[in-house]
Amino acid sequence: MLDVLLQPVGIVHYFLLSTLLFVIGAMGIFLNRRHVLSMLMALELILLAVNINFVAFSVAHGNVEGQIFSFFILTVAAAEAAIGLAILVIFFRRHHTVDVAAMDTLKG
Amino acid sequence: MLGLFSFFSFFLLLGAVGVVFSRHTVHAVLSLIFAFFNAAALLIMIGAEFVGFMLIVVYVGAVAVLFLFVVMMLDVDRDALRAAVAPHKKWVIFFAAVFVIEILALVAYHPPQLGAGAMGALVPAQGDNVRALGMVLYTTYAPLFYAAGMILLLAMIGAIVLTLRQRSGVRRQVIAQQNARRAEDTVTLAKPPSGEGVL
Repeated sequence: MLDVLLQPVGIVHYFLLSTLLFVIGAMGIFLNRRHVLSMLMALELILLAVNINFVAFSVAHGNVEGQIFSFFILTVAAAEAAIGLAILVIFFRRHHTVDVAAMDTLKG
Repeated sequence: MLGLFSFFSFFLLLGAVGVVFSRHTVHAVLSLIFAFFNAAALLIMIGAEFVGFMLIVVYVGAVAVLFLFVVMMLDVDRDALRAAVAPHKKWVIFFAAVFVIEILALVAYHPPQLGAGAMGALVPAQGDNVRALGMVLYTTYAPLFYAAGMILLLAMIGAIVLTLRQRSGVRRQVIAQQNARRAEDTVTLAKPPSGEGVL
């Protein structure tokens, strides 16, 4: 019984975990389709799933370049969060809502 | 090892579900932090310590705090926004289930073919993870490292430019205007007769 808990962890486990995390994040984007802040948080979950995949495969291959790539994903995710939240703040200042459906100014 | 993995991944998925489904936005942000801690533990478990610590430093230390600040500033009724999407909920769950089943079938029928022994245990490389990363990051990927710095600088400038606002009608101190004032432009000498005011 306890032997199961001591089994080694394989790449498949990490792959399935990151798949589930990705799907939860994608569901979050669709379920919170009107709320920009929740969409951004679900996006962070998706990027985390991608990072876990990169690092797990990097360890499996014994090649650190996957971890390097996950740094760049981390950088771009941080920049994206900063810019996205800034846009959100000025949008809320103008419209007093974060509803995506209210973002129709460019529709003409 | 599998027990530890199951423990952390259970709480990671729990945190992710909390991000998506919790009622209050603050709870969602706290769930995000929780999820990131568990993800960091999972990464440290397979020997990628530096990425795990960076997850905590960058996400928990910077991004999640940024989210918390924005949540604090905005007063948003999350349920009202979610109610508009509720009719599509079963379709979202249906397509998510389809995606998961597809991936499971793919893994079951075509397991990932890696090098020898890769399908078995994930054994972290011996030695210093940080040193190994630095040897590659500062040599082969040095141009991309500079580019990452430029991206962060751009994000910083962009966020400042977007949120800085010049409000009219506010009494502000403008040093240049103060320095440009001369006595002969602004000071007038008046000789009021005794018993009357200046005007």
